[in-house]
Amino acid sequence: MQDERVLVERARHKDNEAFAALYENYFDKIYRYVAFKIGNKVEAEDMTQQVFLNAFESISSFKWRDVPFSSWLFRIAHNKIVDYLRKKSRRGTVATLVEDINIVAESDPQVEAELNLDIEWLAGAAGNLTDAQREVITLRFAGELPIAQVAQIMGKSQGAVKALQHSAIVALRKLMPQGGLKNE
Amino acid sequence: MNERYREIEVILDECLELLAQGKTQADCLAAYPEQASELEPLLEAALAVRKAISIKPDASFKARARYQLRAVMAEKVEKKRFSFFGWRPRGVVAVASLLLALVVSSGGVAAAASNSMPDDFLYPVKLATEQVMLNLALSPEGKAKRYMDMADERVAEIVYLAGKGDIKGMEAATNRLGGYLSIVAEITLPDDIPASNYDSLATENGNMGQKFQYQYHVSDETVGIMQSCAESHQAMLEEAMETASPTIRAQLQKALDAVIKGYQNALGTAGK
Repeated sequence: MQDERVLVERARHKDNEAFAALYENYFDKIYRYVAFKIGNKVEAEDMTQQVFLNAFESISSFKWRDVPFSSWLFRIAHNKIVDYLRKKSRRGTVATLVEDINIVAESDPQVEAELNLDIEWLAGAAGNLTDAQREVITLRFAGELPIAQVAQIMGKSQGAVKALQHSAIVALRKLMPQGGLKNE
Repeated sequence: MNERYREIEVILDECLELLAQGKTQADCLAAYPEQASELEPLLEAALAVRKAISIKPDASFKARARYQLRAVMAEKVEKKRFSFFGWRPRGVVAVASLLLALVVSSGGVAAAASNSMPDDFLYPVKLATEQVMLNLALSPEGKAKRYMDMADERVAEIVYLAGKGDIKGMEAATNRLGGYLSIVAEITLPDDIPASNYDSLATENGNMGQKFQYQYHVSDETVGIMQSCAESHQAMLEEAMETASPTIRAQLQKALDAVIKGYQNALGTAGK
């Protein structure tokens, strides 16, 4: 992919094809991040699209100083998730990831069922993590972001994020079923 | 103890980066043999998390989302075009605007229709609006761009209909798509080459590069857009095929064949 800074600069100057290239690069990652955080497919689709529409509307004001484009984009997604969860909490229907899991779509029903079980395990196990640990895992694995960018998004040092990552994985390892996951 | 903790945290992170680059768990353990016994269960857990979290968006959703973004982008370009330096053009464009207003009962209807899919009751309004916008494009270049916008919409519709299992709808959209790309190939044909010869011209350009110097109707910018559309349309259809049933996949293949052939012809006649 073309140097991201060049693409972002072109997108800032109304080059729609440049924004489209950024969109293609980040779409799946943002969707994974959102879907895993809110656990509902339909809402995740809607929110993912809103993230990119918001980004498109405001990219002219984005400045690539210390914060790279990916951090800015995931921050938009993060804020939308926070708003969404806050509204759900107010309505007294706090959705747990386990209850709302229906986010996998596969053509093979058996594969889909196994994947859903894996996500159910992960969602249940993630409930035993702290918010910060959960955020690190989601940004690193769903968002596929490097540590440096995760640290920027979370406002922490890289060392602190590595520590959170380690402790989260230790905790998840203890909660893995004997014999591993079905879809391994 | 603290130093040791920090060391394993750093090593774990480095191993996660190696895994992300396609290295295996065995590669990581070989890189850090002294920490292997501690690392191994952590890497197992990390790999399990990565597999569990590898959620993919629906191909039909991706197509709809892509289409919606393109519609928003196109709307912005149109607004900019009509208010360049605050000047609103008169004459032909004003008349065309009136025509558009007469075709649809209100701007709201056209806007609502622009995102409709073939199974939506507003879909005929969308097609009618496209025709009006096509007629407003006066230059060959403008028409070529309009046809590519329409091709973009047809590809998104094909992927959407694939998700619905609507083969008839996919066939209709594929036929329209093929038609648009044929027209684009004729538009990009140089002035002094008769349309009946453009198949051989495309082959010659494909095999021998820029052998001939002609006056083309379209600019490098438009050719760039055609190349970009060719790549993205192909990618969209191939992605939809990954999770489609055999029957739907066969229809998607027809659409893909139309896209590949259509853009090869169009880009061939544009000399690229």
